Amino acid sequence: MLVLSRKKGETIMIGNDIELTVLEVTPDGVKLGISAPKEIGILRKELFAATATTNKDALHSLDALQSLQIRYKEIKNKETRK
Amino acid sequence: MIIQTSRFGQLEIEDNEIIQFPQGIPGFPEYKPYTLISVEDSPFYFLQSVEEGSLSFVLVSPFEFFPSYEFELSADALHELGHPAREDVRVLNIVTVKDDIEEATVNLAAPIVWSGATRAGIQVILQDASYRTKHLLFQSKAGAEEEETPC
Repeated sequence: MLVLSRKKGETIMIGNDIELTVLEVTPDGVKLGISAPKEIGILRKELFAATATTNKDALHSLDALQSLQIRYKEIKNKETRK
Repeated sequence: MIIQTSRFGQLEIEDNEIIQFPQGIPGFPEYKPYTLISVEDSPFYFLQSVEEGSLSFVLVSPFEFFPSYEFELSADALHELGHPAREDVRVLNIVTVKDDIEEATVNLAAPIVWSGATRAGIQVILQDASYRTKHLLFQSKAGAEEEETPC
């Protein structure tokens, strides 16, 4: 990992068109401004990690496919009987 | 081509049935081509990796269970999908089932979105907090059922 020191108001460039600016530094956090082309995705990493965890959790759900179908049909039948 | 699946053995698929996920799916970045197979008479599908037989997900059409489900695709997501026309955009969500079918959950916070035109797909991670990774799938419908049976 590259480590750079920056002061408030200073910027880092990543390639030619991504800029990271330190807007504010407080005892418990840093506020960053990001300018990047709109086709670049920007995401808090914990959201990505939560998605990966949920995906791993979802593997093997295929075993329950038949039960899902049965449960769905039960509900559908009740709805149409109303 | 013939692909191997853990659950259904060998399956034959056409090239035009492959959906490419250029970034993979979070947790499984190295697997990019998948095929989507619909389950007859149900809103369920399964998404099967073309390369890895044990990598597959159950997906559901969200609107069947959550009619008001909506989100906006960000510019980077549209870019990944090759700027599809509105009617070419398809949305499905990953279902998780553990031991109890009543506890089945659906990830509304990270829908699988793909373009029927370019056959490019992504798992979009929604950044607003209105949807969670685990919504009970049968909750709304089961709740309605109970109300209907007072006699």
